Amino acid sequence: MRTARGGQPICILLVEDNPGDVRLTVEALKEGKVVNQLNVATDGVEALEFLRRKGKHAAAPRPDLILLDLNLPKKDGRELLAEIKSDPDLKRIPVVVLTTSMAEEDVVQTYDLHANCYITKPVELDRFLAIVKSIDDFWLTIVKLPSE
Amino acid sequence: MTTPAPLPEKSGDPGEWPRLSDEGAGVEPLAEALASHAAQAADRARLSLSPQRLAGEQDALVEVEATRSRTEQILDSIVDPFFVLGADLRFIFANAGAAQMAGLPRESLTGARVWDKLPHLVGTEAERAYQRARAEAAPVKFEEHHEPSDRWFEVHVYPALDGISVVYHDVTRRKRAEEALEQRARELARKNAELEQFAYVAAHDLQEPLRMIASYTQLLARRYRGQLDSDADEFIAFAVDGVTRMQGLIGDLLEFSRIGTQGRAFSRVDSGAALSDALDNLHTAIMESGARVTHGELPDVLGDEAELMQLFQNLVSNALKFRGERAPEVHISAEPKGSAWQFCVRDRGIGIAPELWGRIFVIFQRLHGRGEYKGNGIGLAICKKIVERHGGQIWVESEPGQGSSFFFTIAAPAGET
Repeated sequence: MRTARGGQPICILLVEDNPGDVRLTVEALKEGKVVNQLNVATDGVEALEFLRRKGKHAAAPRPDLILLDLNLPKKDGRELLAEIKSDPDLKRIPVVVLTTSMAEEDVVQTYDLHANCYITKPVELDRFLAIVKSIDDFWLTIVKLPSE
Repeated sequence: MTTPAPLPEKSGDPGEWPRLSDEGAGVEPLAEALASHAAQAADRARLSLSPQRLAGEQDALVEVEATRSRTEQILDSIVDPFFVLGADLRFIFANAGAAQMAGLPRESLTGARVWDKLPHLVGTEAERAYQRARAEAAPVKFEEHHEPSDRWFEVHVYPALDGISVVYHDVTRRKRAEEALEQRARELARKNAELEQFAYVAAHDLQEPLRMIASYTQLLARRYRGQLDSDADEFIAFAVDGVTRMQGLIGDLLEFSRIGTQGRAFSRVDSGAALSDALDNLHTAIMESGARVTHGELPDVLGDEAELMQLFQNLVSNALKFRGERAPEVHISAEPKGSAWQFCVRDRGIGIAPELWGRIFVIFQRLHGRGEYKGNGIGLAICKKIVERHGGQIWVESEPGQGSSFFFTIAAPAGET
């Protein structure tokens, strides 16, 4: 298993409310074999608590990458994205928007909010697996990110 | 002094008098005849002062009175309200129907100014029509709603003598039928829009759960093929096949329902550029099939560029797909037809039997087994929807084994062709 940054485990925060999608991402990441820690938040409020190490997430690690669904309960994915990108402590964490929406306005709006990239979930499993693998390859091994 | 026109022979048959046709076109000759008779009577009265002729003159006066009375009876027998106004727009004559409609005794009308008796007409279409008919010396027609009786009239105004004659024709039934028809058309358009919206929302919302079913059956197949028994492998394969097809259908339905609900306003479009874009998208398919795609001179039309591109793309793609033994040959041409352009996409493919010409444009209709040709039968349904949204028509002419020609019409920019 590969690890980044001098042996520290790689951590992804997946913000997704549909358990079926969560499991599918878990399975896809398993095939990629880079990540050794995947954390899941099922709404925007919980995701922010995780990132700010509040409440039960006091001991949460800082994620190397955030996979964000747009349509979430409590705090919407767009609001969450805006808060992350305006928080000096969090804004350098790359956020990959991974959604079923193909709407042009969502694409424009999320890039305006400084999302690092926007991906529409494909309907075919094979393509979904391939996309998760390429996220994994690109953001966690190819890209040079700041150390904190 | 002019010689008076001879009196018509008295046959007692009202049939010899000019009559009002349905359109009221006979009013002018009638009014002229009346005027002429009055003039003759007056002349006779002046000329015939000698005692020996007095008896004859009295006869003539009786005759004039009889004529007047008969004319009035004839005009009263016409139930359509009818009146004649003189130069100063005073009533010269009003039939019983006109008096009834005005709600006034007939005697009170004669000699009175029309605006005094019918003040509610001032400033309405009626006033404008009276003025126009006199100014242009030409018949004018308009429609008027009569509030007290809640009836609709088609009103014909004819220049007559120095003034006008006005005929009211009850068109309430036609008007009601038109209103009912418009109401139905509006309802139908609303229901149609609802249905389109429903198809779009249903297809859109079905995609999510379907993606779950598809993903997990595919995951099952991927992980457990060969690890369970052969029955399980077969069942999973059927499930994967079914759900994959359903995804295709839902995707097509979504694309189909997007046309119209998400279409843009029409503008001038270079159909040659739309075709060129379509051919770019089909580049791989054209190269692989070795097809020769040619076209004649293509005009500017009035439409939605993206939809026209899609239209060409689907038609050319079909021509490549349903090819015969030889390499596909496709030719696109256009010729003016009235205020529109008629396009033709001609191929030398397998062709379509005449009894199937109507069916091919219906959504999800497939003429071939899945093993022979891929696809869900959406392409031509989309073409039809696009063409009809543009107010045109699409049809096919074909000879099995020889090829097909798909024709469609699209409006030209205003004033062209």
